[in-house]
Amino acid sequence: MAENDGRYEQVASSSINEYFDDIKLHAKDYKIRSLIILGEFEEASKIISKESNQEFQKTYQYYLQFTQSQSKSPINEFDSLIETNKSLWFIQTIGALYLVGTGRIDVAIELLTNHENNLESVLLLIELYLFQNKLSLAETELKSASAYSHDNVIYNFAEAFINTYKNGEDLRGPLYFYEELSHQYPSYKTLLGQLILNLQLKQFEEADVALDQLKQLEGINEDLLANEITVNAIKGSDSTEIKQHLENLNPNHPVLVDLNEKNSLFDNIVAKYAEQIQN
Amino acid sequence: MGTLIDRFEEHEGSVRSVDFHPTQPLFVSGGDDYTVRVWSLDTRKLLFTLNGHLDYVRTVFFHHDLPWIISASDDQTIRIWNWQNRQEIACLTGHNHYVMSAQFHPTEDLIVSASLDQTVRVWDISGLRAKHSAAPQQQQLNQYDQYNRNQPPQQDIFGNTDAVVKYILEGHDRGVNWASFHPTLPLIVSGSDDRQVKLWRMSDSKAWEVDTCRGHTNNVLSVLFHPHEDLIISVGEDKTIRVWDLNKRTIVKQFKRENDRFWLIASHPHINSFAACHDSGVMVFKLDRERPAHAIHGNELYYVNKEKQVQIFNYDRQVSSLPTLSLKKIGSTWSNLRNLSYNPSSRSILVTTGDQYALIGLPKDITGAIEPQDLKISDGNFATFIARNRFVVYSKKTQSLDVKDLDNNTTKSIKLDGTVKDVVYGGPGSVLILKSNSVVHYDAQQRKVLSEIQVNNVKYVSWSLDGQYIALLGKHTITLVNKKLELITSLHETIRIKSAVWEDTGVLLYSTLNHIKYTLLNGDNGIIKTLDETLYITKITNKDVFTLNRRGEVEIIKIDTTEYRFKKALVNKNFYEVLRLIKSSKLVGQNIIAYLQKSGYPEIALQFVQDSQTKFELALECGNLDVALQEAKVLNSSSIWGKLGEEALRQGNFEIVELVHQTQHNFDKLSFLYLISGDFNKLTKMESIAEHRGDISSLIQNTIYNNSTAKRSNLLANAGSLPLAYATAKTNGHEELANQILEQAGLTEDEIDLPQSTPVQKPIPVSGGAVSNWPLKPATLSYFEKAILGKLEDLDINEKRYHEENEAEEENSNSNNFEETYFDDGDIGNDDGGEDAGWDLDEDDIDIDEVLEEEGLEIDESTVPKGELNDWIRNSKTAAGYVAAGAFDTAAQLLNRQVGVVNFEPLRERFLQVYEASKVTLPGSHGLPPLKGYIRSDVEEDNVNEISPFIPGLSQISTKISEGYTYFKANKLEQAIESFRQVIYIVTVLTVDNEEDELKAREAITIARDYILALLIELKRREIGESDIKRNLELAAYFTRTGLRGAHKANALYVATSQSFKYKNYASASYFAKEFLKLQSTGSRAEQIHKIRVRADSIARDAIEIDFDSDSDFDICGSTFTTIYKNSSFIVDPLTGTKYQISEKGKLDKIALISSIGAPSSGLKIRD
Repeated sequence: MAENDGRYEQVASSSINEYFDDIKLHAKDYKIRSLIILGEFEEASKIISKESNQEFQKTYQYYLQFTQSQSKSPINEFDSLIETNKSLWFIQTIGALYLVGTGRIDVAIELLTNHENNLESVLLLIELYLFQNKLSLAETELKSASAYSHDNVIYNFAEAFINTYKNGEDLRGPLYFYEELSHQYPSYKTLLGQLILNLQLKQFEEADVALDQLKQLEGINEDLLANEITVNAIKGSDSTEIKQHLENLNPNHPVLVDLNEKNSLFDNIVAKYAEQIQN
Repeated sequence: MGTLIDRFEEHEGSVRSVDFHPTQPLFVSGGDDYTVRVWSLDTRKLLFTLNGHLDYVRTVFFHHDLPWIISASDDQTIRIWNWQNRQEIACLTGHNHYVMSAQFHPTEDLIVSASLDQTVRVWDISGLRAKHSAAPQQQQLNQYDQYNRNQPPQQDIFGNTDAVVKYILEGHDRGVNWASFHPTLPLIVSGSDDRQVKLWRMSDSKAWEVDTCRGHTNNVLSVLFHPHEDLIISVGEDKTIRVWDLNKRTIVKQFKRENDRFWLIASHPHINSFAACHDSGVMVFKLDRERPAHAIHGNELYYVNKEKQVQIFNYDRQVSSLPTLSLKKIGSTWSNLRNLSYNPSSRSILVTTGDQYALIGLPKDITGAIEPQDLKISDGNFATFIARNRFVVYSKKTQSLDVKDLDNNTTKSIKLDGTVKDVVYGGPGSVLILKSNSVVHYDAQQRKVLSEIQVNNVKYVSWSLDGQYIALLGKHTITLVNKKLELITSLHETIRIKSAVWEDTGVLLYSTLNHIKYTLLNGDNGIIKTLDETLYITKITNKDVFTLNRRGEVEIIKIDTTEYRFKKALVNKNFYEVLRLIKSSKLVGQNIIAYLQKSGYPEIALQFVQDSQTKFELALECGNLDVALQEAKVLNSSSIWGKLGEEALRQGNFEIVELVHQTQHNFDKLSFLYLISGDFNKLTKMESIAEHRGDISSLIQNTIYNNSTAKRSNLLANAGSLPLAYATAKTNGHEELANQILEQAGLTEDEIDLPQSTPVQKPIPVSGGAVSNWPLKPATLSYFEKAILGKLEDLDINEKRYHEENEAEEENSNSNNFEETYFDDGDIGNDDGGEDAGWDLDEDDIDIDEVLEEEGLEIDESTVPKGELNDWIRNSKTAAGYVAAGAFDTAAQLLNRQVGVVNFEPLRERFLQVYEASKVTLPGSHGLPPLKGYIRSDVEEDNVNEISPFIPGLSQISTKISEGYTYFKANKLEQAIESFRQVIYIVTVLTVDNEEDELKAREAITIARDYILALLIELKRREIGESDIKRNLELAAYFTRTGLRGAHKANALYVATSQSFKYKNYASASYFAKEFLKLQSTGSRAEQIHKIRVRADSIARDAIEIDFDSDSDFDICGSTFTTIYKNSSFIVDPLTGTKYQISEKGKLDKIALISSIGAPSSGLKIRD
C-alpha cells in the first residue's frame, strides 16, 4: 500500500520478517521495487540473492540489470523467462514494467492479461490501456476486479486513474481519494493527484494550495515540473525556466518530447505561410 | 429549564384546573373550594372570586374571544361566567353526575363536556352569544348563525334558550373524564374510566362514534388532538402518555413513568410542545426532534424537509433543489430523522432514526422525490461518515463502534466503555464520542484516543471552517475548544441553545430558542437578532445567515454584523478595521459604550455618546478635561463640578480648578489654590471679597495667606480678641497699632510678656510669580480620535489610495474594469460606425464561407493521437480548439481563412500556451510512463462526444489591457504596444461559450487596435521630431482622432495643443485646447492649457498648414498614417479591422503584425 502512494522510503526500510510466509514474496516485491526506485541497487541485489525461489530471484535480477543498463535494450534471457512463466504474478508485473521499458507496450498488455485476479497486474494493465486511450477496455478490467477487491487501495488507484479520463461528477471521486491520501501521506504522487484533479475541475484556487504543498516536499519531481508548465499556461505566466529545468532533469520526459514536437510543428507552419508575407 | 416565577396560594384545598387568557395578562383557576378565581399576571394578585358552584370545580377555561369563563363542577352543572362584569351568565344543567370537563369550541359557539354519567355532551351556546353581544360582527355570521336566524331559537324544557344540548354522545361504559374538540375538523375525542379513548364525528344535525383507541390499562384522565398533526395524545392512571394516529387509530408512541399517574395533558398554542401533569409534577415535552437532519458540503446543504425528502440548497445561488429522494420508508411514519451525513465521494448519505441507520446513494439527477434505489438499512444508534469509503456505526446494545465500508460490511469493531450519547465526525478517520460528562476524540482507524475533555452533556458539535476550533454545544452551555480539545472558553445561556456555526473570521454564531447570538474566542458575546421562531443556523456568509426552520425549509436571515466585527477588531487590535466600522456604520447604544469602557477604550466610546452625563464620566475616565468641562457646564451640578475639580487638580489644570471653585463658591479652596499657586493678586482680591461678605473666619484665613498682619490685627481687635490682636501687631512691628490695642485694653507694654518670635514671612513663590497650569506632556490624540476628528488626512488619503489600488487590481483581475471601459466610452460607436458596416458585410458572407471552409479544410490529424484529442478536434469549431488538440496545421489553415493570418511567428507563444493549458500529467505506477489528463471547458459535460478543451486567456485579456494602459500612462509606448498586441493574439486563439464573453473579446480587439494605432502614430511623430514640422503637427492632430479612451485622449490633446502652440499654429492649438478642456476642466494641466488657449485665441491663426480638418470625420491609415475621409476608398485588415489606403493591400497588418491586409476572409470565429 505504501508503495502505491509513493512512500518508497518507508517500504524500503521495512523489515520483511514481520510478514507471514505467504505474503512474504509480495512484501519482498514491494521492498525490492522501492529500493530500485530509490536507486539503492546494492541493497536490492542483496535481498534478491538471498531468495530461494528461482523464478523470483531471476526475475528481479534481470529487472535490476535492465534498470541499471543505459541502453534499455531487451535481455533475451528475461524474454524467454517471461515467455515460459506468464502465469506468475511477479513475472507479470515486473515483466510488464520491463517490456514497457523496452517499448513493447502491446507485449506487456498481452502478458498482463494472463493475470489471475492479481490486483497489481490489473492496475498495470489498466494504466497501459489508458495510455493507449482504450478507456472501455480499462473499465471492463476494473469492473471484473471489483468483484473480488473493490476496497483495496490498489483498486482505488485503478478506479481513480480511469475516472480522471472521464468528466463531470466522475472527477470528484478521484479528487476525494487523492485528498484523503495526501492528507495522511503527503507525497508527490498523492499531492500531484490532488493538484491535477483540481485543475481538471477548474478549481484553480484549490489547485494552488496543492501546488504550494508540493513545493514544500523534498527533492525534485519531473511530473511536478510538467504540471507546473500547465499551471503557468492557465495563468498566462512564463514557463521558460521550468522547461529548462525539466530538460536538464529528463530530456525524455513525455511532456517535453511532446512540446518539442509541437514547437517544430509550429516551425513548419511559420515556414509554410512565410511566402504570403509582404511588408 | 423551568423556573418558578411566583406562587398563588389562596385556594383552599386542591386546585384542579388553571387556564391562561390567550391575550390578557390573566389566568383562571378552579378547585375543591367550589370557587373559580381570576388572577392578574401583572400584579400577581387575585383579582376576584366567582362563587356559585356547589361542589368541586373540575375544569376552568377562557373563551377564545368573548370575556367568558367556563367551569365544570361536581355539582353536575357547567357554568359560564363573564369575567368583565364578574357575573354568572349561564348555568348548564343536564348531566346527572359529576361534570369532569367542559370546554369551548375554538371557533364555533359550541361546548363539549364529559361527565361521570358516561356521556359526552355537545352544547349549543349561540343563544347566549346573541343575548350577550349586542350586534354580532359580520364575519362571525357563519353558516351556523344564518341557520339560527331563520329558526326560532331552540328551547329546553325550562324555556331556557341560552344553551341547549345539541348532541349526547353515548358509548363509554364508565364515567367520561375528558372530551376535546378538534381545532379544525368536526371531531371530538374523549377519554374514560373504561380505559378507552373514543373518537366522535359530528355534522350539523348529528354526531356519531367513529372508533375506539384501546391500549390504556387504567382510567384515561385527559386526551386532546395534536394542534396541527393527525395525532391524538392521551394520558391516564396507567402512568403512560400515549400518542395515536388519528387516521388509523393505532398507537404511534408511548411514554411511561415509573411511579406517577398522569392527570392532565395540554398543548402550547404556538410552540410544538406539550405539558403533562402527574402525581409529582409537570413535564414539558415534544413528540419528536424538530431539528431537520442536515449536512453541509462545499457550498451545498443537504437536508431533510418536512415530507421526509432530501433537498439540496445551493448557498451561492441561494436556491433549493427539488426534492431528490424520499426517505418515507426509513424509520416510522411519525419519527423524524435524527442525523444526516454526506459523502461527496460516493455521493451517498447516511441517515439515522435513533435505532436504525440507512445508507443511501443520491440519484445523479434531480427529478423529484424518487424512492431510494440503493438502500441499506441496519440497526445502530449513531452513524457518520469518517472517510471517503468508511463510516462508523455505534450500537448502544453492544456498546461497540463498527467501522464499515460502503457495502455496509464491518471492517473493524471497537468496544467502547461507558454510556455514549452520540458519535459525530471528528476529522478524517476519527470521531468525537459524546459522553455524559466528556467528549473524546477517537481515531477509529488506529483505535486510539487522541484527546479528551471533561464537558457535561454535549449534544452537538460545530467545527470551524479551517478545522482549528470546535464548539461543543450542550443544552445551556457552549464550550469552545481547539482541535486538540483544549479549553478556550465557555459560556452559559439560560435559554436553550439550538445550533452554532463558525464564521470565517473565528466568530461563533449560535441560535437559541429565540435569538441569534455571537461569541468571540475570548468569550465576549451578545445578541444579534431576536427570532420569532426557532431556527438552526447552517452557514454564514457576510450578512446572510442561512438557517433551517422547524418546517424543514431554508430561511435566509439578514443580520447586522457590525457589533461583533467591531468587537473582534478591537480585541485583535485591528485598528484600521475599527476605524472603518466607526466611520461606515451606525454603531450606537449603551451596550457598545459599556463594552468600550470595559475594554479600556473610553476615548473611542466618547465618540459615540450624546448623553452629557455619560459623556462627562467617559471624558473624566480618559482625562479629557475639555470635553468634561463642556459637559459639566451643561449638567451644572455640584457633584459634577466637584468631580471635575478633583480631576483637574490631579492634572494640575489650575484654570479649571479655579473655574470650578468660582462657580461653586468654594472661597476657602479658592484662596488656598491661589496660595499654592502663588497668585497674590487674586489672594488680595479674595481678602476683599471675604471682607465684603463679612466672613470673618475666611478673612482671617486670607490675611494669614496674604500675610496682611495689620488687617488681621485690626480684625482681631474688633472681634475683641485683644491679646491675639496685640501679639499680631507687636510681632509684626505695627507699633502704633499695638499701642492702640494696649490703650484699648487699658494695659501697658510692661504688663505683657510676649514670647520671643520672628514674624512669619509672606511665602515667596518658587517660580517667581503666579503659577498657571501645571505643565503636562501634550497629550497625543489616540489613533481613533485623530481619525474621527479628521486629523488623519495623510493617513486617510494613503489608505484610500491603497484601497483604490487594491480595487483597481481586483477589477483588473475580474475584468470589471474592462467592462466599464466598454460601456463608458460613448465615442466608440461613433468612431467605428463605418467599420461596423464593414463587419456586417463580412458576417453576411460567413455562411457561404463556412460551407466552403468545411469542404476545403485539410484536417491533418496524423499528429494527433486517438482518444480525447481526437474528440476535441471533432467538437471544435474554433481555431483555439484545434490548437488545444494539437492540430496546429488545421488551426493555422482556419486562421488563414478566417482572418488572413500569414505571419504565425508572433502567435507561437499563444499556440503553445493554449496547447499546454489543457494537459496534465498524472504519475501512475513507477516504471510506467505517466498518464495524460485533460482539462475540459465544461466540467459538467458527461458526454464524451460533446467535450471540448479548456482554453485559457479570457481573464488575461483585461489584465493585459490594463497593463497596456499602465504603460501608456508611464509613457512606455513600445511596451504598451506589445501588451495590446498580446490582447489581439489571445483573442485570435480563443474559445468562449457565451455571447457576453464573445462581445467582450471582440471589443478587446477594437480597444487594442485603437491604442496600437494611436501609439504607432505618436512613436512616428517622436521619430520625426523637428525634421518635418508639418508632418509632426499632422501626426499630433491624428493622434487626437484615434480611439483613445477618456483621460488618455486628454493626453493626446495635450500633446497636440502644446505642439501646435510651440510651432505657432495658434488656431489649431486653440481648437485642441478647447477639446482638452471639455475632457479635463480642472487640475494643473488644465490651467496650463487654459493659458495657452487664451494666448492662442488672441492670435488665432496657423503658421503651417496641415492636412487636418477638425470638422470632418476621417480614419487614419494604419501604415501610412494618412487620412481616409468618408467616401474615399480604403481596405480593411480582416483581423483587426484597421483601415488602410488601397496601396497597402496584401501587406502585413501593422497593428498586430500577423494578418494580411485585405485578404479574403470569413471572419474570426471564437464561439463554440
